[in-house]
Amino acid sequence: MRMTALIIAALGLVVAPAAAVTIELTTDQPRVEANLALNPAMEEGADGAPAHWSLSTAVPENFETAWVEGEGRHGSRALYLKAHENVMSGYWGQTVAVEPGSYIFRGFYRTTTGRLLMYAHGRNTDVEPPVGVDARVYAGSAIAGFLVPVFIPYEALAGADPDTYYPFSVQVEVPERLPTIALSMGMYFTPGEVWFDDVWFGPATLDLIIRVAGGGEQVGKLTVFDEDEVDPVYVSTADPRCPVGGLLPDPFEVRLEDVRADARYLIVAKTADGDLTKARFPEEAR
Amino acid sequence: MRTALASAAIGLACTCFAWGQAGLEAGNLTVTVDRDSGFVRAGSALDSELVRGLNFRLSDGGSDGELPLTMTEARFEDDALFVRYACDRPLDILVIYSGLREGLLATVLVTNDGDRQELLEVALDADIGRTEGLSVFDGRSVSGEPQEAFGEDTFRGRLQLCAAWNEQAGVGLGLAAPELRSWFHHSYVPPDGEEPARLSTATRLVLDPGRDDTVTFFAASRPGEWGFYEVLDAYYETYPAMFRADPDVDERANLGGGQYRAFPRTGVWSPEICRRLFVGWEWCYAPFRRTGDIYGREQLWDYEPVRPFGSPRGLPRDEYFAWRREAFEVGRACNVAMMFYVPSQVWCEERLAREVYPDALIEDPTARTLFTTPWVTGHDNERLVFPYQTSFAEQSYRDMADVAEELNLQGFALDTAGGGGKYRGPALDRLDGRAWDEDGVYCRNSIAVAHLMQYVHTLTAPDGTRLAVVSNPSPRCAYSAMLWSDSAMLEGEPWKVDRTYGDSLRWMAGHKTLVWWEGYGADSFVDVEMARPDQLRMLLRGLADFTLLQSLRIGYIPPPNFTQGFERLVQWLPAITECVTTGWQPVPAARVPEPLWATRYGDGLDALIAIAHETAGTVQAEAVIENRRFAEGALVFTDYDGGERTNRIAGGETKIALTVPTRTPVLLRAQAAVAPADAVTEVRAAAEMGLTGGTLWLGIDGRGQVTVRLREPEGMRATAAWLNGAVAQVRDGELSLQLDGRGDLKVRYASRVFRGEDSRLLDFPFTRDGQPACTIHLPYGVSPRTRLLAERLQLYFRYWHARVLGGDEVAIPIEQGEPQAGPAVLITPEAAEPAVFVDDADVLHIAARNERELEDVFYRYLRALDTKYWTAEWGYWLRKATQGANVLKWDETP
Repeated sequence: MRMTALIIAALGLVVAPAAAVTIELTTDQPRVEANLALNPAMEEGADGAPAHWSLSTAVPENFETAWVEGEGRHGSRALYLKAHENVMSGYWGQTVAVEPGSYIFRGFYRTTTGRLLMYAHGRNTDVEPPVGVDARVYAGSAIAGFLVPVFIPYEALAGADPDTYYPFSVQVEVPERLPTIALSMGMYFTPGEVWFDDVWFGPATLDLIIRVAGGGEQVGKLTVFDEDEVDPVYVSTADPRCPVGGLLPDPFEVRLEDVRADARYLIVAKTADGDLTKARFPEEAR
Repeated sequence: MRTALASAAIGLACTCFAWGQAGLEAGNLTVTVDRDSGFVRAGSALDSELVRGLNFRLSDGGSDGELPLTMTEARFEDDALFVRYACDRPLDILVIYSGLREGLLATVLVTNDGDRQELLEVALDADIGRTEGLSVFDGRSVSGEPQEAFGEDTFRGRLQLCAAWNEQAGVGLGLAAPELRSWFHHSYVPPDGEEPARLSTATRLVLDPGRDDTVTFFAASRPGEWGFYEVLDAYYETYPAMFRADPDVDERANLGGGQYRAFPRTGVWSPEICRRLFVGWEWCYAPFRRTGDIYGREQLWDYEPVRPFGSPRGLPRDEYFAWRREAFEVGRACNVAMMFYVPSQVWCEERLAREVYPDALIEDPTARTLFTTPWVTGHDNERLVFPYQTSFAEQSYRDMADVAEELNLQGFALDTAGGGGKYRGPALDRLDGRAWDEDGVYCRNSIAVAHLMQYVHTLTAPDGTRLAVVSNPSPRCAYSAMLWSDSAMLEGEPWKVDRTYGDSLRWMAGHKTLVWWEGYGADSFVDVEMARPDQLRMLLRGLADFTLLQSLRIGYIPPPNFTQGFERLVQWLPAITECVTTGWQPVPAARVPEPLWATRYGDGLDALIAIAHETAGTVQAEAVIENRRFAEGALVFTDYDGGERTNRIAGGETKIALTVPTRTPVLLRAQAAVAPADAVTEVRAAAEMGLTGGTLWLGIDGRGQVTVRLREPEGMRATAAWLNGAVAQVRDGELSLQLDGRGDLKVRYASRVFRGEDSRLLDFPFTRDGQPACTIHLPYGVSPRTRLLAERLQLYFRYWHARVLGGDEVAIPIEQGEPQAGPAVLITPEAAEPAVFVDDADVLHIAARNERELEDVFYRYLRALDTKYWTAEWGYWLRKATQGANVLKWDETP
């Protein structure tokens, strides 16, 4: 992962504008349509409350919630949650209908402090044997506030930038006979505050379709990097459709099958002149 | 609201008293019978206004009402008060008040002479006469001057004791320690008009027709300064055997757990890692294929799991058995007591439970009775069952005996020992300790777990020791979970939930060993990938320091996930282990101002007092040690390592000035007791103890005749003493001195085993320049047990050169027969007496009278060698934080 990040950084240094080349990313089915979460961007709502999302906790008085404007990832709305003490956990959540299979629950959070839990969960006890799923991902810092600062200096916890949204992702295996599950995002028995935005819940894998058009430029190479892997997942020079040392057909289309929905790809098209054009999945996928 | 007033419930109908004494005195309480009112009056010797009465109350579970009682007889006989009651039910009720050590017992015997089952609630009430400044402990929490009824209505995570106290005195009530009950409750009701406040402990009984039951309550009054800890102290003193490990189990059960360093797999260095990290036992996790079939019976072996078998459970039965035998044997070679894991036999593979043991199934909608996610074995779904007086219990007991014999076990590791779930199945009628609720009669699973623990103690290991119980009850366990455990883990870190999460388990454990579990879990605090090495170091040092402090504050041993590679904790580990195995004491009897706290381990000359604070900066203060609470005369302290301390003696108390840095404890060790205390005003004390002997210096300011009793360090005895340069006689660790102002006392100690000079034993040339410099010799025909010691000595230096120094292994040759010339080591299991010395021929003798003694002597010698060949061990998980060094040092400012 680290090596890949370095490669990407290095590439960024030599990128030159190549406005004519375009990279179009789509998925089959389209990501937006595949998203089963309702009001995933947190933009819908009325009377100060977001549509489809609600707070779940046994101690509501421990929490402060808001549907805040101007705090989202792109200056739009986000879900805000503040836990005053560690007496109880609390979560923004909604219920979605599901079919058996593999799913990905992902989204973005921003936090100042606290231990976060994002999980997809459900249980059907009306069948024998009962079935259920409980797929979790934790994030955050300073789970035990009483350790700070005497035992854990603030500097030790620096890492998550309180102004930056970070992604979370967890794979969910939905069993047979489980018609719905809940998506929950919140604070796990710690005081703290968090903002959530841009949730996606859908099939665990998708086909990624990359279409490169030269727009008058000649494209010589297409490379797809997985940010978690050192080696590229696709290089056109290894594609039998691309003549070695030659140019790519224009337009050129590649279908990467069964791409994890939470994969993070950097797609780089290189022209014969050495100019680079980049696109990122999933940010730029339609 | 109070259901009925005691005065209304009890009427004196009979005057046949044989009462001629002033009353029964026990537990600082005096109990008398008031002839006019029919009350059992009580008073505290420490505060005459605190307690007024100590009365029995009976309620009917059917009508939920209090049954009016009539006292029909009260007599004093054989140091006990017998009070008989009648009521409008066919019940014969006898309450016997008696004394036991530090407590007063009220034993209630109820006989059902009727023809229907009786559901009863019996309570012992203490009428509280003075409530100003009163604090109340309800078995879990403390309330200061409660103005409303107080007492959380929960069973689990709650002590069987409650207490109320003011600054002067306190009173405690509870169930007697051996009581196994499915329900109890403590409550406090504030005064209401003329009615005094009332502190109560209640439990429920189920009495079948013609049957009787006996329940014993405990009560005691103590000084008020240390709150409910005083009542705990009285309780532990009253039932000493229940708050220390069974003395007949393998004593390694009192040390720390291995966290899988010795099972299921070991590496070449595992024995040395376990030894250096004070591992005494291993939690040998689930060494069976099918939950509920812990032996692996042939007829139950082949079945279809709900998830695929992993390795090695997927092996054919004979291969799995061979693997298991080998794994236990290899683990045992680490000198670790192997504890065979069972889930307290409260979980059983679902199909096995339903099809073979249906009478054991627990149907309880308030408890989780089925796991359909991977748990004990990973491949089974597991069902909650009741392992007492059921077909599953019968099989479990047989299985446990059989695996113990087959694997030469030293004990069992009982997971999920908290005892959740209520059993109402077909075996219910023959169970003891039953209770009732709105759904009828039940028996709580904690009773089955307690019986299982008792059963484990009836089994014996090949060496004759009883099998031990090491449990995992959780602080939210039933009160009985620790009573028959020899030691236990808290499955969590010192910061789990909050700072005091582990305290209630400590109260339940008494003086027994507790250990933390899990590990640092740095990823719970930071994104380890993103964090810089220096951030990780800061984080881990902080967590380790917190672990150090909490380990000493409440008496837990940190196991290897906390210590391995952490320099500071490994340095402190001997001290922590000594404290915990000496025994946590609820009453510190050491006053320190906030933010300091003090915790005491041991009594008298065994006493160790840990003092620390959890704030930034340095705290300077004075510790005032209340000697009369745990010692005779005035105790004199040094630092744990013998560093000098000045002890001012005044008013029978020892006062020590302290400078306590942040995140760093002070640990004081008692070295001597001077009596009478008022003969001395100041004692400066320092000690230097080595392997073969040591010296204690006491600079005593005082006048008159005093007796000085000396601590005897393990394996040492005081052999000579000088007062101001003149010989003073030491007899049985005691000196009688005549002081006239300043007296400088020097005491010399000698080891009973290690002889000669420390340097000859510690600097013995085992290796030189990366090569063996000696040979290890064994007499011909020694047993594998003795040969193992030779191999352990060999391993010690292989480990040192290869793992610690990073060079080639250096294997000292092992030979049979006496050495012809030195340097050589001769290990002898059949000597005239235990001894370790280097003779003139440069032969290091390690000798004892038998193998058991030899092991003891041998491992003490290795421990001594550790002072020269010291390492913090290393943790591979520290690689990023230490940038490859694998050892976390404290060489940076916190």
